[in-house]
Amino acid sequence: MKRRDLIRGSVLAGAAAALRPSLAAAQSVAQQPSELTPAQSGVDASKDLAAPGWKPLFLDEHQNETLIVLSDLIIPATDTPGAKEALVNRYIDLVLAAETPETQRTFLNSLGYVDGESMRRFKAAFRYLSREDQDILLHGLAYPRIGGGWAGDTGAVADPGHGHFEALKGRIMSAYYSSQIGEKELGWDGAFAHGPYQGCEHPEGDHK
Amino acid sequence: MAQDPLQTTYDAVVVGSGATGGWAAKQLGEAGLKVALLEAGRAVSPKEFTEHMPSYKLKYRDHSPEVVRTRPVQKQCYACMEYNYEWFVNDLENPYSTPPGKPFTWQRLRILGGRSLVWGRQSYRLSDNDFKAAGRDGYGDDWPIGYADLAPYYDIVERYVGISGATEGNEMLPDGQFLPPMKMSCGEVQLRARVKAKFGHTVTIGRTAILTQNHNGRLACHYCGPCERGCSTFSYFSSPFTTVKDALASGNCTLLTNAVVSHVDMDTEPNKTRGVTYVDRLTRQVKEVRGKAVILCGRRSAEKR
Repeated sequence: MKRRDLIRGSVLAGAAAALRPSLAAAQSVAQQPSELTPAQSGVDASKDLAAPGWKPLFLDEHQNETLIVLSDLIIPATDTPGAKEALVNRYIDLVLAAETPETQRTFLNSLGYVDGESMRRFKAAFRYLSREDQDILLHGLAYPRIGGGWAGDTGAVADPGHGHFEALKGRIMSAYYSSQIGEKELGWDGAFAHGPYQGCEHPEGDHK
Repeated sequence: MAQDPLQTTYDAVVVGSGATGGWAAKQLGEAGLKVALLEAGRAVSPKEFTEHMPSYKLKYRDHSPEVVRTRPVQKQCYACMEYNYEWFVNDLENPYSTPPGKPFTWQRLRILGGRSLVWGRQSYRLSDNDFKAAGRDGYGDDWPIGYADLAPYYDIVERYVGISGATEGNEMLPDGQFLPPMKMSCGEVQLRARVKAKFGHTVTIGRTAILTQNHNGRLACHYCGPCERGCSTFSYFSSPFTTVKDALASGNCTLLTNAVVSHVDMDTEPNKTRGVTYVDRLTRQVKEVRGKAVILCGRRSAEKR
């Protein structure tokens, strides 16, 4: 009994600690003078997506899990964190939740296409395939199939698979590189000011 | 100064606190005239500048649906973004119409300083090629003034504002009172040399209201990039921290924020004004400010003239 109380107590304390920053953020929003954007009143939303108990706003569980698997395959962790660690699925979900029904539908069509191909070729949904089969499937989509093969043949068949892949990759890429992890990956060192711009320092007329 | 602004008759009522209104209030106030400066928006504080905030700190990383929903017109300009959209009017609350086939993107701000907070900062002198263009190409009318009439005023403004640029001696773009120019890259130096050699034309660095050295109590630019979110070192020219500040320091200027001017009140005597009527944006009360002269410096008034 005592042990159970102890465990419950520690869980509750942990939950309270986890909630504290978001409560503080909520209060600062409530107190902010009107007519300021959240940014102008100093709200830092960068930790919102990592909140414990996060739930998707738009995607269902299967779609969300599929997106996580897909993003991890497209930008895997190397010696730096990948798309999964950058929570790109959560950012994409947030943005989609605010999008037009048409954009939402387009995204789900692309995600559904991957699952459809997976069912057709491997008889299982994409997220349940082996890593090897996932790679095989994506490699097939990653490059456009082009027509009859003769040079100059303009009768290229439309390749919906490639289009869907590109759309998903684009979303994942922009979500990744707009995250803090992604900005660092791009080489941003956290500095904002670049100091005086030196410009061309060659002596007059000497551009070799 | 403790006088009730609604019981005072001002020498001049200036409507709008942007680039033009700020100058009018400064010049008149410093000359000893009593000025009322009316601004439709609220006051602005450097605390709300966000030029150094990375976009991953924004909930939508600058793809906010709130901006799309409430600023469909304003966001057509890059300067209206998730960082600062509250500076711009809410298009849903401020609709306007244009003649068929003549669309117009009307950028409007509701903040002290107006568009001077988010302007593009490029600053060029017009020349007689502009003022007397009709005489050469036959289109429109020549201006009743020429470059020589305006040049001394350009001098005053440039010395105060701080315009960085290169002196070129080119009659199309008369030289001004420049701070040192920003440097050209190697490629730009090459381009400039080749264009001059092959075509006889001048490629010059942009002339811009951004400081390349400390100037009039403001710091040189630190090249962070997104000026339109505000500048904590005041390195680009915006009226609240320059002309409006000076106008208020003169002791002769009363600033009324949240004052949306609805019309100019005409006197019984023909062609004489007695001031303006405005609506207090927050209380919706209708009030009058009396003045012997009214100077319209707002975008709305400028476009209706």
